[in-house]
Amino acid sequence: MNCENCNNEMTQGIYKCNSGSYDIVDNNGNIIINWKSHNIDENDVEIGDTSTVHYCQECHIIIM
Amino acid sequence: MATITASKWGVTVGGAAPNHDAARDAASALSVLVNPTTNNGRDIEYYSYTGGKGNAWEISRTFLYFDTSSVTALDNLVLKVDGVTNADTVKVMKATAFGGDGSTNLTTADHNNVTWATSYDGTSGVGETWSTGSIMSITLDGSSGQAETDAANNNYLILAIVSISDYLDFSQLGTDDTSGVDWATTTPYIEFDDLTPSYNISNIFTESTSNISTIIGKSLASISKFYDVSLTGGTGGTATTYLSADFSDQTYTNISTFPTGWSKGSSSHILWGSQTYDVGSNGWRFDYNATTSSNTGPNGGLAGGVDATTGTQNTLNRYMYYESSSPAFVATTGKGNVAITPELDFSNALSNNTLKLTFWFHIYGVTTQTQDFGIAATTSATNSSSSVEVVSGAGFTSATGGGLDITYWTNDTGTTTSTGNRISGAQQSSSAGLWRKAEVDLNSLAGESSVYIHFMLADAQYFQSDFALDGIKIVGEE
Repeated sequence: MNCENCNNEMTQGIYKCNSGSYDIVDNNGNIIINWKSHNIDENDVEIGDTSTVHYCQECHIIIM
Repeated sequence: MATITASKWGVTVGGAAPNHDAARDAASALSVLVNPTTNNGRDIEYYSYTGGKGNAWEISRTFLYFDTSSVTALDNLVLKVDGVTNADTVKVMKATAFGGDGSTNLTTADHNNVTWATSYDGTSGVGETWSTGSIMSITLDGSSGQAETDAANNNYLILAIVSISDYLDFSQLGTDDTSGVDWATTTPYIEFDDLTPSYNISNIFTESTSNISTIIGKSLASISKFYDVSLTGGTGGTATTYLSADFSDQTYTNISTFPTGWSKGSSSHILWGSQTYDVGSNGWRFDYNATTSSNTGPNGGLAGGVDATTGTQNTLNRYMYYESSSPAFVATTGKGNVAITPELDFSNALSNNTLKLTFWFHIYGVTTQTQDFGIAATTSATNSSSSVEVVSGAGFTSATGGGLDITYWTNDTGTTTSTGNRISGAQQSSSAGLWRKAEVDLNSLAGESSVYIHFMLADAQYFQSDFALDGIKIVGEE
């Protein structure tokens, strides 16, 4: 799978809704890409939600 | 009841083969009867016997071609064939003979151009009892009505009539399943209810330029194939675009950049009666690429803009969507909001069934989806309720009541649709699922000088309830 913007091959990773932002994280939860910020309450059901995605390290394009 | 007589027909006569497989799978026939008008009594045959040179198998198949270019919708399709002399049990199969599209007469090479996986008749594995001396009626309702679909979507219907033993594909020695067609009396024909809408060449102006360039040089009968089946009538007005929004000029998260004239409902906006929705942040906004929450929303906007013909995604294209993340959802009770068009003036629009709203949608969430999407037409920019509806029934009366009927694709190609005043629950099965198209008949609004179209998403009960719109267009004739 290649990025539609730069055509680089996309990387599989973990997408996570952290407190304050949606991020790409490694297996230990360390942030690789800080994708988008949000103001969702820390107690909201979405906080901590994770999913496997493909992403472009260059353009930060994400495919769910 | 409409009829179409076969315009090409014939029989492929297979040569004697030493075993079943060689006879059934032969790529070419020994001979072919092209458009016969005399009878031979052995037009559909599975004949196996022991002769002086050992065992032998012979198979003959009848092929028919019907020109259905004038038909785009039909029902109750029946094949009418006159039988003669010999009668056994037959199957009617989809076929790709006659050059695949009727461009050639039948040839010996068509002998095995039978689509064995698709039965056109309705009794798979059982077959149809052949009879002689009268015209038989074979209902073509097998494979979920594939014969009707092919006749409507293509310019032709091509079929093969084969022996039941041929169809069942197991070797039988000492079998003589033979049926004859009375070519001399009646050329086979199909009979059906013709549901094809009437068209007018003026409708061409509501089509995209890419479609127009495609149809130049084609016959009027062929042109009708390019219309949505719901397009009807047309008296020759001038095509007018009242609204065109593909959101390509929008920035992705800031709701202050709603297109000029567009607005987003607030807590004071009256949806129905005294009902209001307060979504705070989130709700209707713009984005490109994936929406923020996992496992909901598309991966990108509609690739083709307002004139798209397929729902291909492009991760770089922007789109409008209802972001259901907190605080825009409420478990159990649901939440929602409305986005509103600029004031639209249809006072000069002709009431000739050309005034339509079309848009593309993407509705996916991995969890059970509860959201309801509806469209209202009112005279107010702040009220989408029935109290200010433009015409009767056009305003909302509840989260699921009132509003205009929406006809929307229920698969990725639009070959199946559904109609109702809400699109409810998930429609796509993944974020990568293609966008699907919807259409709203606005003919009842023609002549109205002040109309606001309200797009309401209601009943969002989880953060994975994103609902996306793109390629919104309103066109009609003046």
